[in-house]
Amino acid sequence: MNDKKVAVVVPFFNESKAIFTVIENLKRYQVFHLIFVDDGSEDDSFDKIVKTTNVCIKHPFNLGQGAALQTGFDYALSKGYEYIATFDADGQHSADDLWEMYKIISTSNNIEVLLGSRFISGAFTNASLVRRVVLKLAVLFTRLTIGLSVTDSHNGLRIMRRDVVRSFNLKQNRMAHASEILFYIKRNKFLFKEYPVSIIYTSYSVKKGQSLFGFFDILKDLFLRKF
Amino acid sequence: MRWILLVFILLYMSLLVSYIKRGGLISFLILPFCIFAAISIINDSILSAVAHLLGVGRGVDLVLYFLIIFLALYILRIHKLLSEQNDLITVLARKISLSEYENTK
Repeated sequence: MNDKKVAVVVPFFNESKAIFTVIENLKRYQVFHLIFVDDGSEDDSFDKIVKTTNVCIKHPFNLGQGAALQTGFDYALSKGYEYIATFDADGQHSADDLWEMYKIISTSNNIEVLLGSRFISGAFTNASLVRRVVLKLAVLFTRLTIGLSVTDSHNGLRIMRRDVVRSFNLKQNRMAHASEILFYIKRNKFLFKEYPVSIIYTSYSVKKGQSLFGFFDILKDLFLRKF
Repeated sequence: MRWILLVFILLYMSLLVSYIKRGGLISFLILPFCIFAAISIINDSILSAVAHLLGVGRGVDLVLYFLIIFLALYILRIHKLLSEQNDLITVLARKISLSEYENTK
């Protein structure tokens, strides 16, 4: 396989505790080139990663996950990567899932985007009931507003061909970027599929991740963009 | 006094029109309130007539209701402007980050 095939964009903010586990897992697959985007961390996570051989771009201050992804996308596109993946830094995602997703997208002619889903057959998640309900509401909202039939609209594990990423211009700096990505997929009629992935919530990732009330922030951000 | 007020409203309306030209939906929603305010200043009996028509009762109550809607729209507009500024700052900050990374490699 071409050694410059997959750029894995990992945005992070104050993740010094979990980030090395993520690096270790992803580094098992040599085809993955890791692009870290430090979204203005205040801990020593940037100093730690910058000592490794991975790319690590630092925002001058906290801009939001959407902005960090766009920075990673811009870098990956400029370096000519054929596939670009997104991967969360808090240890929820599995590198094995991403590897399987890469194998599927790289051998298929009719998939341009492969989206991770924790709600289809074969997937696993230990999400709480309340979280499941909120995520289902987000899916319903996505179907109503964007018209894209997905089962998991806010899953950060996805792999895309470079032409797909080139069409992105993420304006939603914060968590609503997930809906914005789906909007671009729908608008450009990109061929997409969902792949069952496992999302493991630990006490760390729940504490670090988006709160359940974040759903209302996403609604607010999406609503204000309409004006 | 009412003519001074009218001049201010007309100036504000011209500002709104320039925002509307640039695609400002919120400014478009604010504009009818300004037109109504200008008409009411010229002929204050219209205010009472409209209030009566809408079942509000007194013209002064109608002004209060409209003021609340106007302020809500105005806050939304300020929010939108701040959001646009934030977008520009984001673009700039991202460009600086990428160029700093390339320079320090």
